Amino acid sequence: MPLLGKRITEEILVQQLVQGSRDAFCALFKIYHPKVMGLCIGVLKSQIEAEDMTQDIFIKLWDERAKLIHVNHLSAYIFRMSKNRLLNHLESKQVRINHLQSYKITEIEKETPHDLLVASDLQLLVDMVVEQMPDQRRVVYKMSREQGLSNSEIAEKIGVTKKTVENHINSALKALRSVIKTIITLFFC
Amino acid sequence: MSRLRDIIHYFFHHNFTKATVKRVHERIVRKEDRSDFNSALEQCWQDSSSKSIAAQTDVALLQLQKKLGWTSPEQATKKQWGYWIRIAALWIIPLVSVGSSIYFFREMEEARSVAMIQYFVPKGECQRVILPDKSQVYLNGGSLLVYPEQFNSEQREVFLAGEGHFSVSSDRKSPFVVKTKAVNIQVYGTVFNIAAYPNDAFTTTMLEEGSVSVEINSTSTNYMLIPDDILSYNNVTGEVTRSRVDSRRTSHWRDGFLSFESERFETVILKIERSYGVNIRVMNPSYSANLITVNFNRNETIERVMQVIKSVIPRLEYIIEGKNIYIK
Repeated sequence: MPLLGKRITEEILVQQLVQGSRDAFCALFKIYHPKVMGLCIGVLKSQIEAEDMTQDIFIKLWDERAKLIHVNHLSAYIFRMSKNRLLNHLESKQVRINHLQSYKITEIEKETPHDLLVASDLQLLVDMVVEQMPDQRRVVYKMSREQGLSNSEIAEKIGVTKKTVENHINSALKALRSVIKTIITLFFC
Repeated sequence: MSRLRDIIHYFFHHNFTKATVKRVHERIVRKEDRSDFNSALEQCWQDSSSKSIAAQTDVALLQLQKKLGWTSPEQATKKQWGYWIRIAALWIIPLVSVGSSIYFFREMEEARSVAMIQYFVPKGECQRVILPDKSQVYLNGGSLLVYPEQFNSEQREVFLAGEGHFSVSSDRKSPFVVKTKAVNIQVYGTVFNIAAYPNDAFTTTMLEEGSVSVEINSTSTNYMLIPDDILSYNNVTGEVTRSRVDSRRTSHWRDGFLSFESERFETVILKIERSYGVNIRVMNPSYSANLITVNFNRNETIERVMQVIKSVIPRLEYIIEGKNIYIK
């Protein structure tokens, strides 16, 4: 029942917004601001950029409120607006960067064969997980996998026991496995 | 099968270095598997919104109402005060330490009828303030901005101790003036950066767009700046120097970068202190001859920053003890 109630209130608010009610707009802002801001900050990773984008999205929602007359699901509508804005922003940023370093354009626009893309995606994901590891674990992991040192060599180098090194490697692999569920075996066995 | 979904999902819920963020952004804009991106992002949309973000909603709504030009005054001020009072608790100690604030209060007595708002940004942070005329100021760490709740009609006056990046809305009839201890800057709708920390050796004004005139308080001399001009006033000797810079590069602190282009050792140290909220004691004066050019982003740890400083200046040794750093 409360869910149904929420949906009805939202429908009424949307109707009022279409008619130009500022109060209805503010009420909807309070409901959706945390979601939009959360989405923007999660993607942009910059508080300032996310604030600006969120404001732009809601200004657009207000300016184009007439369109809402055809909208059944406000949440899905605001999500699509936000997603498109985010993509446009990232694309224009990309264009700016490419413009600065024009030699890179060819590299990015070039079609990458599918398997190469899968490999580079995997590399990116691995790098991201490794970046989240505690400092010592990351160091141990890199020495082991990238420099190919043995556990006892690592233990000696950074002054911990071999057991600690083994624990770090196990935890590191576990973290990787939990994110990269399938192909991991090919790479780490 | 692409990994984009896993990448987006993992990316969304963690924080990364600038370099990794850039790699992921580059990956997102590839057009190959947009539908994967869409569905991954939709999942994030379901999960998004947190308590800490919800806490920003009221302030964001106020900013938006200002932008749309429909702040109903009674409602807005009431809420604003709640916000300011919360922040007020934060300023009491810094306010005492900012010795020059006494100067502001003297100035403020003249205009007692207008309520003044004081905005203090702690070290290690960077915040944005929207002024009553919708001008926008980014304040760097350790800065204090004092401005009236409502600007009077003849002149828009604000007081700054610290560093601010101003985007001023144009209004020919009511000039915008930034007052600092050493200089006053008269503005005609423009974008500029001013660094006027009370403890710094220099007060510097840098113009990005438009035009400003800088008045040196002690001599009442005026300087007109054109874009990319930087005017430095030596707070001790009173010497004024004007040079040219790439202003976009130098104001990067707003995006979390720390950029130094042939800057004095002392300046670099002060900026690191402000950005990281640490105290740095320099025990050896001989480093001050060094000019430093280096770029950091704010995700760098202080340990890493100090390592880089060490690699730039041969023979420099330092110890980090919590929030205190000693340079020998």
